[in-house]
Amino acid sequence: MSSVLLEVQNVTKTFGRLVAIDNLSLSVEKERITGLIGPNGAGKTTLFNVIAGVLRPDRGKVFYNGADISHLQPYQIARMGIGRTWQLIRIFSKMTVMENLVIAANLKEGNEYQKAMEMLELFGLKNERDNYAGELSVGQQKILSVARILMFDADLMLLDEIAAGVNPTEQIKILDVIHELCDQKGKTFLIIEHDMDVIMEHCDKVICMNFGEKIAEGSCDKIQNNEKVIEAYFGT
Amino acid sequence: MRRNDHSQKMNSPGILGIPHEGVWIYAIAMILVALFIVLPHVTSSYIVSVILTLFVYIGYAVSWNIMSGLTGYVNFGYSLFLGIASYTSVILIIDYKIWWPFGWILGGLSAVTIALALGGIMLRLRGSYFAIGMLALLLGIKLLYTSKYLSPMTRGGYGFAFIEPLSLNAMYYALCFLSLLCIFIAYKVITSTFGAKLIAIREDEEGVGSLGINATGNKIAAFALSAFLGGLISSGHIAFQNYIEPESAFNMHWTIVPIVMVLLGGPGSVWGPVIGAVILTFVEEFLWSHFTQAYMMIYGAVMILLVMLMPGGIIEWLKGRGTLPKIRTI
Repeated sequence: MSSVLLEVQNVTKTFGRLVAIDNLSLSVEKERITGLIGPNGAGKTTLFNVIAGVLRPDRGKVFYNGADISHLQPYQIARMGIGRTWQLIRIFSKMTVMENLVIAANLKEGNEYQKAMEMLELFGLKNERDNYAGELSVGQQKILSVARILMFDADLMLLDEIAAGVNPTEQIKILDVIHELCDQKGKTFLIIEHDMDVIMEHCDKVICMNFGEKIAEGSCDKIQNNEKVIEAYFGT
Repeated sequence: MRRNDHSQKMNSPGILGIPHEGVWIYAIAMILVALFIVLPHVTSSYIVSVILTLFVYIGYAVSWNIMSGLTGYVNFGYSLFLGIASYTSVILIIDYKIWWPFGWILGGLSAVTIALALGGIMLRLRGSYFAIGMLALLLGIKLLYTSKYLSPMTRGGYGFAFIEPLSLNAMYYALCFLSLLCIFIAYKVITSTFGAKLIAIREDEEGVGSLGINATGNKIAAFALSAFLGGLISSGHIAFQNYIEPESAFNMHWTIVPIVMVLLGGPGSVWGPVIGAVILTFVEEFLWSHFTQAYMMIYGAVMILLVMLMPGGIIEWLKGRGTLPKIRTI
């Protein structure tokens, strides 16, 4: 039985003459935390958008659990079990924290109220329950973004710079939760990060992109010493 | 900004529970309903007519709000549904002798059919494009009903007079019931997951997809519901008017006035449109008689001022002040 949960096969995505993703292939193993790194403009968020169905690949396919999801709508992909967060936080600011959570559980009727309370407890947001989500701090909003995709039991989570802009305590909290979900609940993570410490300390595998291509893939040690990666970040 | 405490409401049916605070609003509403029921037996038919008009405006405002107030897709072509329902119900009742409740329901259903047919296309347009697109559609359909293609049924631009087989009091009670039905359905929608999804669509339409919410499907459902309820009310309204012609059946007045009522009362809330309707029905009685030419201009000016100064309407203003509890059931 294959341990690959997500497979990106020869995907190309262009915007006019700009090649955002260039014949990229990668795979994400089940129950692992895979890091996706690369300089700004490398195409990482575009890749997330392609996987999540916001963009259609011009060429190539995306497979989730063996099924071709390349041409599905974002809501259909989410219902299959892929959750994603956004680089610029997108939560519903004029709805309360509780409403934000409950609405995300729309697939599992019945106990959404209880599940939301569990999430609030787990993430330490209980006191903010009835406040508008727009009034939370940036760190809390990021935590809320993660909590929301947990509400519909996403098996694969695409996290876009989840550690950026949060204070160290909140960062530790988020990463603890990620590890717990990975080890105990069997969730899979693909995370975009710029913070190398976060990547090196928490990822099982790292993929590096630059100019829309995959330039390196491997364990943290291998990536750290990879010439192409160093060149991508620091120049020759 | 602390909202009310949900801790006692773990097993509540809706996502936001039934309020303990704010229940006095419902008590007042019930007293008023009792008064309305008694009214025809104690006053003149003129007063009955005015209150009947109030029920019509409440129905229009509440129905318009279910779609446009929650999703933010401002429907400037609302009269399209109202006119279609009016014509369908009148033609069925007068020409085909259908029993009037069925005629009204079929009127509502004809509006739904159009909403479902158009929704998929029109709801792809955003913001002002949707608003203007619906307006254009309204004007086009009005022309169609005036034209020779439909005039065998519609009697063209001159329209025709008719009398539906029900008394003024019967119409009064029917519209009273229908407007209460609209308020009840608005309550159910706004306090349900469906309503929350519609509000989420207004907040961030692209983002809702990542939570597994089908934005297009939900929008079309709200569009169709708003068309159905508006169509039901409009079938009752036209029965009261005893004359149908394209110019009045599809008149912008039946869109603009409910919109101002919703903006005044509070878009997206259950009682906002009702409050707006109550205030403006009586204001309109006054304006119509004293400023016959200028009243539409006055409405336009009021709309602009409301959007600029009090975008949340009266309900949000009262909630902000703490007079009303900050819960969705109000």
